[in-house]
Amino acid sequence: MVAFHFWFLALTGAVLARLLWTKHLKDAVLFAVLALAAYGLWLPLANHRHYVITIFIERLIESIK
Amino acid sequence: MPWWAGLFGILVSLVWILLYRYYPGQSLAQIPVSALGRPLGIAVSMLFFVYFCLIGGWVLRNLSDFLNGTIMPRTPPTVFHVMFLFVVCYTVAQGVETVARLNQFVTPFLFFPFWFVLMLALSEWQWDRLQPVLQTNIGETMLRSHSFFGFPYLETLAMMMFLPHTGNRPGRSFVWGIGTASLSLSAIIFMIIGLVGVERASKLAYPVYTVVQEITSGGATINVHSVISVVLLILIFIKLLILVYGAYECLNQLFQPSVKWPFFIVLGTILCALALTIYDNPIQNIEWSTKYNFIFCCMFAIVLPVMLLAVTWFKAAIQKKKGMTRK
Repeated sequence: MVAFHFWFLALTGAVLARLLWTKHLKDAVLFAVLALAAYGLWLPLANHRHYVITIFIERLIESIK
Repeated sequence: MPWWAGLFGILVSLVWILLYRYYPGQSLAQIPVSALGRPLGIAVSMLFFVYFCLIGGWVLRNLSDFLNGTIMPRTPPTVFHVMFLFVVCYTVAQGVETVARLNQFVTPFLFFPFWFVLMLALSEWQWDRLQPVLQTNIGETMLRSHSFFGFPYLETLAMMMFLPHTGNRPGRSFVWGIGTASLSLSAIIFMIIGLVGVERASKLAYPVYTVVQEITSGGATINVHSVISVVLLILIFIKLLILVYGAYECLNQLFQPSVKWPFFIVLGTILCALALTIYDNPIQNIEWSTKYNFIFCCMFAIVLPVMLLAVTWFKAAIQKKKGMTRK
């Protein structure tokens, strides 16, 4: 868990800081949104309690049926 | 089966081509913005982005499953994902021409070795395995094989991202591509049935690989299956290349970022995570694909394009009506 936060925050934080430093604000916002999505996908994996996307889609399809 | 599914694929691609004709020079990411306006159009284009990412994650997982199951069982899947994504992102960053030239260069090196190696296995061919011919209920088989429409035919939607870059008559090339793929798939299935039979092939995870593994010459087994491994890996690479190009271009054309590389990093991170979470194991994947893949692909490849076409026709009808009242 700590290792995950270490590499993930180091990677995305460094890129985000660089984008802000070079004043690419629009890019920084888009990057932050996508990085949040990536964080949402990686966090359950790091917790060993990840969901399975196809099962989620299956439930969605069944609920529409 | 591939012929019937290929016909369906061609019919659906005609809908996409019709949509493209209403918006010439625009990619799948730009068409919704032109049709629905900026806020709603961006939402629909982002759905296509999600679709490309999901299929990309799927492809990556298939790749690691194949490598773990055949050549390198102990290597963690993420190693394969990162390695492939690194090369794919590098290629996509070079632009559409690099992607096209790479495919153009690599295709002969895939086509000829693949068929040559399969031809080596012909000593195992038995015509009896193809019998009884046309004894199954064709209608029932068609209905039960609807997953075949989703994979691979509806996934060709990603090729819509390339249409603005093609020369004259892009639609014709697209339809020809789907037609050739159908013929190729039919030939592969025909070969597999003749070489290993339906019964055994249906129980194998990678029948082509197994066929080639068992090639013998003069009573001795010869190791040419690495050729098939390389061909399959490059084919998966090409599919991933197209999907990552589609996903990146969605972002690029919608938000026009001034720097490229941060988005490849974050796209790679998303795809790596998706590859690990897309399905539990290959058996669950096969079961899910048989039941739901067609419905899942339909939402993106049929429902959204038809909706965009309907909106375009509706807008055109309103404009025509306004023009008539002014006169």
